[in-house]
Amino acid sequence: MREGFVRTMEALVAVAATYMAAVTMVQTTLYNKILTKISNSVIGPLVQPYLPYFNIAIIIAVLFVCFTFWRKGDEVWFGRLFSLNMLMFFPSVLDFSTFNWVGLIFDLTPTPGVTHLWVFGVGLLLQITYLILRYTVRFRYVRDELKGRGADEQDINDITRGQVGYLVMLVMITGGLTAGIYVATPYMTKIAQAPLAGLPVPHMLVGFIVVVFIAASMVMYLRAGSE
Amino acid sequence: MLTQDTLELIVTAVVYLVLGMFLGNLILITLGLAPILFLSISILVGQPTVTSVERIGKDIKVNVDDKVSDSLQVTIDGGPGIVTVSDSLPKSFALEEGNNFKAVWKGLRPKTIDLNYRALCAKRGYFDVRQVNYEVRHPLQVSANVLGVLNAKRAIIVQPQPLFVRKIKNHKSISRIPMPMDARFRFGIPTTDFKEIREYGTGDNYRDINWKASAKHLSISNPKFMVNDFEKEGKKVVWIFLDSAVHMALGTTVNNTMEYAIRAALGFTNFYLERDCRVGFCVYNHDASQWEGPFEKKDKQPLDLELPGLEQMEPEVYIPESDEKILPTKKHTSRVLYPDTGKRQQYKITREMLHVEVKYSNESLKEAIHSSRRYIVGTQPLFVLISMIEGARIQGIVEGIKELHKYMGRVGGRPNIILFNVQGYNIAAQSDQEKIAAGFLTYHTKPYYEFLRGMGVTVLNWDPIEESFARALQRQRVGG
Repeated sequence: MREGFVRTMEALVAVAATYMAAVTMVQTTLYNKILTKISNSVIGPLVQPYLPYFNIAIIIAVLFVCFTFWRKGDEVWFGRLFSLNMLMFFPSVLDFSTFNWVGLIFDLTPTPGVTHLWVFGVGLLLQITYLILRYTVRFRYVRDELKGRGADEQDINDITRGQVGYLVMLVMITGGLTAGIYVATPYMTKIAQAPLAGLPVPHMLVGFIVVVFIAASMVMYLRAGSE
Repeated sequence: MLTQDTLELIVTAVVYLVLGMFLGNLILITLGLAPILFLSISILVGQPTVTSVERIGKDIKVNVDDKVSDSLQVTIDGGPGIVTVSDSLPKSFALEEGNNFKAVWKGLRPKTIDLNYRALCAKRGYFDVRQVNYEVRHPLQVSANVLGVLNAKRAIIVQPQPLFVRKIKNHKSISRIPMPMDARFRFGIPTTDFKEIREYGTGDNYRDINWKASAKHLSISNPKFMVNDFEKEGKKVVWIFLDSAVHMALGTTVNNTMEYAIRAALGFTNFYLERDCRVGFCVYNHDASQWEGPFEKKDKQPLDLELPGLEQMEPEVYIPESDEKILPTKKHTSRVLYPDTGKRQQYKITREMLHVEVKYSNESLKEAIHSSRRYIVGTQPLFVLISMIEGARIQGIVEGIKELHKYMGRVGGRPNIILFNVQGYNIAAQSDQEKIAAGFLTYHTKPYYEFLRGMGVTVLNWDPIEESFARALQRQRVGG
């Protein structure tokens, strides 16, 4: 697998994530509130004819920014791309939050244009994009390093193929498990509610068990590492 | 051990979880689990482990500029990841074919890496090729890289290639290359030191016939008697003195004056050993003439006499014990192989040559001759000095030649000393300008040749780039 393939994969993943984040953003309550504020402001009559094109313009602009960041192609710019995507994703998260602090401040009633599953899907896509871009950069560094050390071109291509295959497989498993957890959580809550209701101070008890479990895992890990 | 990079992922997850709790958002909390799940799975799958390495190549003895092949089989187990393997080659080996470094992707199944290469042995020496370095990486470098070394021993002895001078015909009659003074005696008194069994020749004593060997030999094919040959008594001694001063390093690591001097020394060794001479070999350091001292007995012990009635007159002075350790004085390291004959001596000298480097000895020529004097006195040897004459730096050679005069006879009024001058300036010269400069430097040393010839030394000049060793000797024969 050549470096060009890795770069193409990076471009596709980055554009897909940015597009989805932008499309989600333009359907959020906060975004619509801002648009309403603009149309009601002094410059409102001036921009009113162009408001229908505003969403498309924003999507095209962020895609252009995404393409520029991708062209830079290093870790720092991919980090910035992730930050941009998260910035666009955040208003949609607020719409499905129990404590919508921004909504409380600006007196917003959540009226999202997308479902919670959509938001979760986009969030998962952003996470997957973050993981993929983070490691494909390293794969390219590894290629350069091995080339510098005199490794055979075919061997380097084999290594990249193996690494990309491994990464895609891992990301798919992670995505599947995360989605499974998200979908199963309401059912698990329902199932756990009945037995936990009989316990005295169930929140503290469950919290204590979880803390003990995390501490035990940490100790086991550190011991295994020292051996 | 997790890497710094991995900790960043954990921090990302924690940020998601905390933000999710702050906003009361299940989506963020669940998304925060994604990096943790990702890391957990990748750690559980693990990374490769290199279990064994097998070297196919066996111990070998080759000459300089020969090529050696080698193959390695490295077995890898464990999880998927990147494995790099490299066989450490000596610096003087040049890779000709294949590669001594390989990087592979290890999938889920066990894998064997085949490493094949062919290398040129550019410099003499004993090389212990042993270490096979490997590096194991997690596919995503989640955990730290594992560096390791496996042993797969192989000894490669690279012998210097002697420069043969067989092209000179009838050297005894027309060559002016001196032979030892005793070389004119063809038949010395045989000693009891057995030399070899050879075919009977005219003039051999019947008593020397080895009847058992002859019977075996006759039964095979060649109907000739075999006779025992014994070493002749104390005749025909040649001493070869090789300079290992810093100026002999002129040139590159592989192709320098020292290498040519060593090849010339081996050429002389073969030449004289083939002519039944006893050859002694000594390595000296021309630079050491700058700090050589008077010849005194080393390690003088203070007198410790217990004389009755003799008492110390001065009051005893208390000397506090010092923590400072008295450093041992610099010892002279003699690099001498005493004169002997036959293939055994040839082997010994060749073996010594494998280790000779610049500054191999710290004795000056004069000191080296002094150290070997017990083996020189009583013989009338031929001395072959192999060095590089540099203008204004011949004091050490002059002192050495003066020392040699004490131990030697003269043939037709001329002392029996060859000074074989390896002209190293041309070896170092790369560009045309440098070659011109080398020519100037060589020209600059010419007056010193005359000075040395005035001391009765036969100066032989050899420019290894321009002419062969044999031609240098032939030129001497023709030109005188």
